[in-house]
Amino acid sequence: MATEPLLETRGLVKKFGGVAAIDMLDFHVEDGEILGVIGPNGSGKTTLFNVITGFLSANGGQVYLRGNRITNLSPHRIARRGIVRTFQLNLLFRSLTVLENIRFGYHLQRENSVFGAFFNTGPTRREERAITEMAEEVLVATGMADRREQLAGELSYGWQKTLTLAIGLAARPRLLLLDEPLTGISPTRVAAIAGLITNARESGTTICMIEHNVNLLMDLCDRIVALNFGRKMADGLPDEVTRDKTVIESYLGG
Amino acid sequence: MTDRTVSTGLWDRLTWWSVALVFLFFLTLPLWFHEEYYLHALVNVFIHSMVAIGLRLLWRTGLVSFGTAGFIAIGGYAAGLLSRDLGISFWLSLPLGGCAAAVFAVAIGIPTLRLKSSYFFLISWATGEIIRLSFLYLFIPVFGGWQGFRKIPPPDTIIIPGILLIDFSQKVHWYYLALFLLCVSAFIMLRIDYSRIGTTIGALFDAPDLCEAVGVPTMAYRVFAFATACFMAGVAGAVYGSFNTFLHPESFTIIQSIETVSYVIIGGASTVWGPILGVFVVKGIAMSVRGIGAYEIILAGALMILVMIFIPEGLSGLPRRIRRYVTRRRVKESMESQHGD
Repeated sequence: MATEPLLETRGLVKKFGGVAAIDMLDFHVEDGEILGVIGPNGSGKTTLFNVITGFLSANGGQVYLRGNRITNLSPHRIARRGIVRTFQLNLLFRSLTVLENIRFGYHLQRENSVFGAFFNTGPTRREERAITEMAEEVLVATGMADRREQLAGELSYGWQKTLTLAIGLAARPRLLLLDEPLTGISPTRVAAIAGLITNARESGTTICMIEHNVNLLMDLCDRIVALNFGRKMADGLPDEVTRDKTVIESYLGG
Repeated sequence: MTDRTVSTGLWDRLTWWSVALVFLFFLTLPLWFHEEYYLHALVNVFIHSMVAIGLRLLWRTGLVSFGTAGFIAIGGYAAGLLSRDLGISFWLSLPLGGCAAAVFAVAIGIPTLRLKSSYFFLISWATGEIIRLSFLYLFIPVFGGWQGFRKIPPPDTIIIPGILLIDFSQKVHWYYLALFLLCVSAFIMLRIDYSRIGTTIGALFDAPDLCEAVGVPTMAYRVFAFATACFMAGVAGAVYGSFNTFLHPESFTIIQSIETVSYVIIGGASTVWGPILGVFVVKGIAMSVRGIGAYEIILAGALMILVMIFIPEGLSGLPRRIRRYVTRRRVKESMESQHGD
């Protein structure tokens, strides 16, 4: 038997009204890969992320993480099992600073209890200080060191996008789902952000990302899945998928 | 950006100094001021302040409860029953009254706190009214119904022979009890604010979905905030009942709940001190203007509207707002004078 994939969906269905946004989808993510998900608008990419992470409940089918069923668990339980996602619309803690936002990424790695936090015990203080130090490293790595005290709501679109990625990287999940991490990033910084994604993979995080920039995905990804009408249109090596006739017709254009 | 942190630090220090001064003032007040009427009024102000800072915690998660009066009543009746009918010491009935309100809050909160804030608001309203009507019409032999719940005993006497005798026969004793409880509540709230629990509660207001995505159990935090708010309301109710020796369901109408919300809005929810300021402002004006008593809720309502329009962050945000205005003006003036050259 082949080794179990890290994440797998079997016959997944999500309907909005009568329309199936995800239609009997068998989808999987291999351990350690960078997987790109492409497809026209409305093809079900973000819906797939929302169902996998528990933000939307599936109408049918199952989601497995290393063979364990995680279908329709609440989002924080799924996060606890190692799947962390970012949001397309720059969902951030807007009234907190950049540093505080990144510190939230470490929530799952905390060992101190709420009681420790309430009484501000020695171990809690040490752990929080360590978290701040780690967050500072992420700040430097993402090029946001001089913005650490700025409020997230005051950042430009591109920096907000970077910050959502930074929170996800700080969480060091087994699987990181990125929803358009490169859209709106200035061309001079795209390479740096792509570097962060490859680094994360090197340190053991599997990446699955939705992205429209196909040229970039060709360089970055080990495999690409193309969706259309909630079904898999193509699945394979970047070269194969981008040369696929149906993909070119419905998405990439003539 | 360093500028912002430095000035915030100065601002924090100023706030702390003024809080310390105000605290010293109220700590020493009974030494040189003996008017029973005002001491009585201040006990009520302290009790309401406890409720208000509790409600602020829930407010910070982005939810507002219009059923607070009901939870004050639960605390009052529960503690009253324990101390009057079961002979349990007031000092034990007091936290138990708070626990009764908190347990009820958890039971109501688990199914309703996941709803949209506007639905929670309606359900909390209904809950408050159901609680009040239950005390009015159910178990009349126990709760007293329209007759009210009578003869709630005062706290047990505290004696340290030769040094201290507190028997709650004087207003001053109540004054210090209420002040003490308010300080304990404020301390608890400050600890929450300055720990990651408070940061998380603030983040919940910003982006609950992102909280979930990084593994924060948002429902647990909401239930915690609601239960804590109701615990404080319950403790306040227990003191209130013992202080007045009497409870009546009509003291716990929706009007009371709205007034509690008004304290948070008028004073501002960004610090623990805001809601306390709100209580002082509303109760202070109501007390100092003769004959306004019956119109207190109208006053609170009018103030609430004015504050929401002109200072959305509440009265406690006023100094900061003035400071920002002055700095901006100064910058503008210096720019204009440069243009003049």
